[in-house]
Amino acid sequence: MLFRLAHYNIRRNPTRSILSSLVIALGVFVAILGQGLVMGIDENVMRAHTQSETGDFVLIAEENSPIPLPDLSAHQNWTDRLILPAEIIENGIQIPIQIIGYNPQKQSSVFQAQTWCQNGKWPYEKNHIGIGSGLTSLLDSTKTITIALETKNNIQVAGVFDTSCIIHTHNLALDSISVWLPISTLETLSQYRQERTHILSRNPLPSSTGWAQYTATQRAEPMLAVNRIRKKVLQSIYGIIILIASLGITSTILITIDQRRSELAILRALGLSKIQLLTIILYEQLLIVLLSSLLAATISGYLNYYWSIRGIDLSQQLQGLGSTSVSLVLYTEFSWSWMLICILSTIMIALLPTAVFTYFHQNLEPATLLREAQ
Amino acid sequence: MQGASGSGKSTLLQIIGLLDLPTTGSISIAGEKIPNQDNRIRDQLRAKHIGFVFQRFHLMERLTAAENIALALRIAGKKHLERHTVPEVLKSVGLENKGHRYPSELSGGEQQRVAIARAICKKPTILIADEPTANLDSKTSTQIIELLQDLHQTQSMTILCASHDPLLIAGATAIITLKDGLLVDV
Repeated sequence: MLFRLAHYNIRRNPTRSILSSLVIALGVFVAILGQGLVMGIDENVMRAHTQSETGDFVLIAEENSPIPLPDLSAHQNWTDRLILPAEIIENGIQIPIQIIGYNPQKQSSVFQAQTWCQNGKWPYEKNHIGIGSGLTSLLDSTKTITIALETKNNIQVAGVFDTSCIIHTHNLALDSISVWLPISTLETLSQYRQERTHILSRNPLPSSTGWAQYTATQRAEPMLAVNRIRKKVLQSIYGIIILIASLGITSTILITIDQRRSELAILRALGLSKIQLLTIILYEQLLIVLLSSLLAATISGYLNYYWSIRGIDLSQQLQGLGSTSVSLVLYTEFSWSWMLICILSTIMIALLPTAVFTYFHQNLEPATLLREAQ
Repeated sequence: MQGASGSGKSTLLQIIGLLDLPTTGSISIAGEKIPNQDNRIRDQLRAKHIGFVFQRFHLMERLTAAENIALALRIAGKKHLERHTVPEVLKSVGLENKGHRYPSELSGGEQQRVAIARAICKKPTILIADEPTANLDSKTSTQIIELLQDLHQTQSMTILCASHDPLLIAGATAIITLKDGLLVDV
């Protein structure tokens, strides 16, 4: 019966109730879906690094002055890579790629070499090449490929190669831009003989090598740091939206308290305590907040779950930005706990101002209410 | 309780009914002093032992007559008596067929009867009525006065009324006169 009065009061100001509900729903929607996207980006970044590097540690030489390969003979589980920017030339069109020189002898000890190579064998011959699975859709023919390497002054054709297998590393970004060669072949083509840009190792290497040593997580750190800022911005936006909505609802409730002096006076005169009265008032707000946040959580949670399985294909958008060779599917992260946190924190943020303002700034003494109700 | 307007009748009723606090002094009920600062005890005593009837009825417009009575029972923690008590008190005030009506569908006299039914349903120790006939015509006023006298006689209920109505004052067992906030005659 008391709660029926609360329901009536919600309907008393329908526009305000609906607007407040929409703003709260927007806040929860942004929080859940945004967090899913940002967490998804985090996961994609980590996956890209862990799958492309495969080793537990990555050693990288100074960018502009490659230094000689350190003596790693004591370390069995390591391999080196030489990574160079290059281009595939097909029908006069240049497709930018990344050419990866790998060490066939060390490959299997560090890489998942067998599972990565599909429809053929790893390229061991000088004129053989492996191409990333994402690149195949961009090429008219994958049988023979003309590769050009960038030099200091221009681009020179390095040779024509036969494709020996399709490389599928499960890293969509890497597979879309990379071709693979034995490192010895690449050394003959490039100026970086006896030097490496990139070394992968299962074990920590001596620090005296002069090469910087990173884990995959450390390599991903700059992007994860950017993502952390994204997360903070997103959470701030969520907080601001919910706070604005809650203040909107609070003002509505305070206005309706003024409209309901007579009703509240009767309830107090009949013996309802101040706390019980506050409970009824908060119940109205709880209804608005709970319904709107549950609705928003259902929609955004469903989208989040759907995209966590199916992914969001951003390839076309990237092509529109001029990146012709990258295909990217972004998977969101679905989290029940985050949804629960969003709903509960929304309820807390929304109810607190009403509770404080009503309890401390509204005179709900029965005599006062009765006088005002006259 | 009689006295000119502004003599303090309503204020005294509200203090006795634990709706308001005295600026000085204290309230004792059945020999027990009621602490001014303990709102919980004051709310509980008001809910269970004191019934109010107001000059302007103060019924819940969104609830039916029966629901208005049931609301008082619920606040007094006597929800279990609702089914039996509500029809009984409606009958005692002569509104047994009008429990389903909203206050706006009732006459002034009928609304005051509902207000009395709401006040007596929890069987209060004392019924406080602040000018219960002031907003009613003489015929309806007479009916309400008869109802209050009947409650006093049949249920031995203590009824404290503030009024200017000579008929109501004539039927009282004791008359208190207030003047400028002071009790001048009993």
